[in-house]
Amino acid sequence: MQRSAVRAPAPEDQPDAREQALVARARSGDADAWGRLYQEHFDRIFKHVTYLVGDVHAAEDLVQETFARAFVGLAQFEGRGSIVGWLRGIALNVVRRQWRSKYRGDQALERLGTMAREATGSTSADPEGGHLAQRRAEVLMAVLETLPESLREAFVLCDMQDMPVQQAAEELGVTPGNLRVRATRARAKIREELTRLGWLQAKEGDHGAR
Amino acid sequence: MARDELEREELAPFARDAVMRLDEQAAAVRPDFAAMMARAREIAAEPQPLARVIPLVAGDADAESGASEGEDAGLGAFTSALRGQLDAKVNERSLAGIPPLVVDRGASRWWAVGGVLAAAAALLLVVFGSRVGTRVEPDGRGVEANAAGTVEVSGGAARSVVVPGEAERVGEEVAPEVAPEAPKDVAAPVEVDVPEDRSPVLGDSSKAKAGRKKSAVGPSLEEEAQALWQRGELAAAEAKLRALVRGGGRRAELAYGDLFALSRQMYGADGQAKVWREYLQAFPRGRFAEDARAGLCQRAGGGEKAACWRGYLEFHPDGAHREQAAAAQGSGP
Repeated sequence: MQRSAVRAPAPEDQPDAREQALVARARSGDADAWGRLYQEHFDRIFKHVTYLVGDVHAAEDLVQETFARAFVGLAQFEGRGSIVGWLRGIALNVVRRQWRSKYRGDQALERLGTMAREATGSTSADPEGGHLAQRRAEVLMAVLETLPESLREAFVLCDMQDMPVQQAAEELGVTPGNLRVRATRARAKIREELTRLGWLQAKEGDHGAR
Repeated sequence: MARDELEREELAPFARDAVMRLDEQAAAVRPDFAAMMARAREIAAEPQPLARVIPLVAGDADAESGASEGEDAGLGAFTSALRGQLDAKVNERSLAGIPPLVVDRGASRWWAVGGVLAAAAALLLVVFGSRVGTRVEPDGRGVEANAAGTVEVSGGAARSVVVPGEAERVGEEVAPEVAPEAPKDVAAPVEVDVPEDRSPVLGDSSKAKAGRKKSAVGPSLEEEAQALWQRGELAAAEAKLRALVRGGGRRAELAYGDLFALSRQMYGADGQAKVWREYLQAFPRGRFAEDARAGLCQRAGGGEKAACWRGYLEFHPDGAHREQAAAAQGSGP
């Protein structure tokens, strides 16, 4: 602490400067520098993508695609924001493209139907049990799969990644107010589905739930 | 809002369990840097126009709704399909001599889509042959441009049937960092994750390889350059390509094609623009001239833009970017 107070820290001591230096080196074709950035940010991007797609194996491919495209387009990263923010943005777009090219609404609904059939009895099982946790995770991912991407993204960022609204809104390119609306709609739809599937109790004012 | 908070609390256990489960699974995954880099090399050499076509064919409503001032939207989709098919063929040719670097999980799917597009394109050619033909080969150069697989040519044309606002974004040197930081609700990804102006790579590669076949005595300079490039030895690859350029003639012109992409990778957009200018001085009516001019015009700022596009129209009155050029004239000073 004292040391840094009396003399300016070397660029490598400062995460931002160090990162900028790595980015600059990677931009000039230094694969080692890109390798460092890859290693350092892989986990965060991987989790981001995994939460979005709900499938680790799919996420693995998409994250590789994200980093590969980022490397090829690195010259266009001007460093106005953090590299991780830039990578998350590319990842989001890679995921969106995958959703649009592969999304099969009928399959998602079919999967949800299976969830509904399997739901019977699950809620009364050991509430603290690992099995229940797994089932809850599965049913939530299945429900998310049926949501429009805008709602799904809002829920994943706000409720699964616990990202502050302002930050999440910036990442999605919408206003905070818009994001709140999306997140609210996402929760309402998820709740509705979970109620329909027997995972949650209907509340007053709900229709068609048990 | 109180109800929303209640719902949030109710859903929290589900979200928590989902996160825990995914985290557990994710922990087992190890980064594979080599595979990622191999994929990056593939991306640097692949025809983006094919990727652009996919959402259109898949019925991307947003993309289709942006179709076509004055152009039949349905036909636009098919012409895009045709362009994608042509680009796919060009890419197939250009990649033929490159040793496989990595297992491309998506490639077979892309080629399958390409096959479907090819069939659609063939049908189109029969039905709308004259119109499509005009678009593809106005003077033979259109084919050249498509064969070059340029993002700007194919993408520019496709842009007219893709997404509103996309042309402007591309024209203004689409920076992936901008869109990810403020992605649009609709169809932002296409440009964002596709670095711009890699176009010359394809055309260059295909043409360079065509040149190589003719001079097939041992590894040619072109082949050596490609090999070095693939190994990531960018400076050495550049030196080889520069040697070809110094030799002049057709091989020099083809080498420029590779230099466009390589300089982009090494020095960024400005470096690429510098090579474009250099190329235009040497080959003002060369096979890549249209794309080089369009690229420069798209990057031109302020008052230079209109003048640049004016120059483009003088050289390429039927060019693939003529609509953009005309629009720039209208909005220019």
